[in-house]
Amino acid sequence: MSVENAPVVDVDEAAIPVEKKMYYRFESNDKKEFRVSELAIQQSETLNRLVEAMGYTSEDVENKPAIAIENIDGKTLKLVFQWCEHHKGEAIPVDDGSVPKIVEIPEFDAKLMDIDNGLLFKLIWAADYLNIVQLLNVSCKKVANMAQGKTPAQLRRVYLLPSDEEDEAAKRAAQEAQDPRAREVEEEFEERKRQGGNSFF
Amino acid sequence: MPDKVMRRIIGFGGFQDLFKFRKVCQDLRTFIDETCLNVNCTSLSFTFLPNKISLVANFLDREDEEITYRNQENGCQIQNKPFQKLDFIDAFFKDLPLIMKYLPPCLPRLSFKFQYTNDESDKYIPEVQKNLNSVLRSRKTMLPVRKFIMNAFKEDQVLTILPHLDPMFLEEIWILDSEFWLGVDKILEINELTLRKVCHDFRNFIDDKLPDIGLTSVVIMITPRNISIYYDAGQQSNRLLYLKHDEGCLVKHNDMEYLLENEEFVDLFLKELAQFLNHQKSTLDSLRIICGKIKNEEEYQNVFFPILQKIQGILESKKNQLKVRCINFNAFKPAHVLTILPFIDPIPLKGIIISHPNFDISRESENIFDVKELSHLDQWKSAKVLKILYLNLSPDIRDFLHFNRVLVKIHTVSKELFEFLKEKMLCEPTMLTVFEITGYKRFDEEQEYLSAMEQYKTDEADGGVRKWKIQLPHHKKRLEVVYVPKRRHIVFSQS
Repeated sequence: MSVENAPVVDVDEAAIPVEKKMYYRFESNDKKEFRVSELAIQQSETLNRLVEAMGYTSEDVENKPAIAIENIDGKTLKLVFQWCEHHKGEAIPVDDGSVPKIVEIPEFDAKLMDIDNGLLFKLIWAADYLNIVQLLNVSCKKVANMAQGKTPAQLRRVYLLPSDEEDEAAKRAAQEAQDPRAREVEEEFEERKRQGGNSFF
Repeated sequence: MPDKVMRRIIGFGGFQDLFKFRKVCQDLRTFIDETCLNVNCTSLSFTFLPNKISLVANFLDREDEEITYRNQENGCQIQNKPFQKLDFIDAFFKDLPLIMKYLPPCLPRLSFKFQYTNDESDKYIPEVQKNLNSVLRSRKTMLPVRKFIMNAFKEDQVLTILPHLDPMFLEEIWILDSEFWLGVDKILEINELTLRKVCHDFRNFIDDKLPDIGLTSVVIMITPRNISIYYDAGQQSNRLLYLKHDEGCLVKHNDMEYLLENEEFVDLFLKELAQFLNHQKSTLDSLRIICGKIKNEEEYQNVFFPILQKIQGILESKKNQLKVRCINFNAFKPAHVLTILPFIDPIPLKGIIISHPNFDISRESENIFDVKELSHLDQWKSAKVLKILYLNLSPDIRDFLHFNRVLVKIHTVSKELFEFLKEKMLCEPTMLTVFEITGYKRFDEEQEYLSAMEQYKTDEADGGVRKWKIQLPHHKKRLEVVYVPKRRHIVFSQS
């Protein structure tokens, strides 16, 4: 049947069910739960893909366990979702790998990021992990601004980094330490570094 | 932290941040040296002086950044930090490869200013050139620059840098005279608005690729103690003032001021004017060369005329004649006009305005300004509008008949002159549509003429103003004549 000959069907608009606004449940690695709107989730490419793949209905969201985000703690995740809710519906910049030429930090974001350095670095790490491009832009910009007017020694303090000498000494100490307990400490240090624990970089 | 995050943090900073990050620790240094990072600046300017090298980077969303390397006893100073036994030129060229490495994917503007005198240039430029060459040669890729500006003493200085710029990105090249460093930024301001010159070929760029400065109007005002250039580009009006100063020359450009020691203000003005005129390729709507506060012809001859002659030299040496729609200048004699007018391109020239430099003296003057010599010029023949103000002309107006509109002061008008005008404007095929005579000194046979014109009278307004409309039998053209005796003014216009 050609398109022209297809029967015309009258649609009763009132009969179409209105889809309810969906809120997903997420859980941090320290078991804190968050309810986040579908629109806010779109700011995170990672989470958006995840919920699309899961294909949850409203009932599933309520009945099934919260979606676990295992490597972000509750304090950081709270900031991430606050940011996503505030900026929901806004255009998402395309991440082509280049550094954006202009990034302005809005008042809301500035207040949200008025936190200690450790938490700010976790926020950046989370923004990168969850692929929230604009949050990554503003948080990196904040860190770049923090470097202005500081000496390398001050930067070490701000970013919790060892100096070349300290780094060298730590490596030497690790090499000298042969007993299993020392290796354990070394591995723990490396693990913490990988997870963005003590050191920013 | 992941590379993506690090690239952002460092990319949002400037070159100074980058240098500082490299000093923080080995890991960070390795990361910076081995990763493709960009500092997002929009413009990078290097300025070389005998005792200082500075780098200014501009950004879209953060303050400009300046890094200075100063020479000092037993070492140098970078920013304000002293470094013992380190030469400032060596220090700069140690940092330069890093700066060049972290340029954005396309740098909108790169400039090199060499602020040396001729003697200093022989001393410093070879070393700078050698170092620059080595830095640029060591790069694996060409520099991605859109607009390149430099001043040069010799062509080989340009060739040290230019071949290392990627032609895929390059849209504009500015090569300026070695002594024009002061004017570079002024020109650029203008240029931002008007210049869109694309250059594809590196060869012959010095002569052929000189971009168009795109000015629309230039006024040069000369007085015994200072000279001003008022210039318009697009919507922007600017003023450059060259002022005689006890220690040299004070240059004011809009709100900025520079004192150039041991510089003569006239020489500096002429040098920069030459740059302006050499860069002017499009047609100027208006060029005015006027003198202010000239007391008499002697002062004109001593102060104004020598400068006019030097401007003549600039115009004469210009590869293509200056294109102007309307030229306007002060003169006592036709010889003064001949310093400028013959060097203007006659084709676009539509208007010529010549006026006496001092209105007060002009009222007393009985001298006749003889246009005979001017009338042979192509520029005279090509123009459509002529105004000669406060200068007495003879009543022989045969050299004016090709103009569309004429406004002149004729020393002695007469019935004979007006009959001649009437005849030409009504009966003969002439271009003349308006002929206005103002401020005549004598009117021969005035009563006779007025009586003869009674037959064409239309009305009489206050102050003895009379209007006549003349239409001869079998002629289509009609002539309107307005006579204002109080102002010694009479206008013939076709209607």
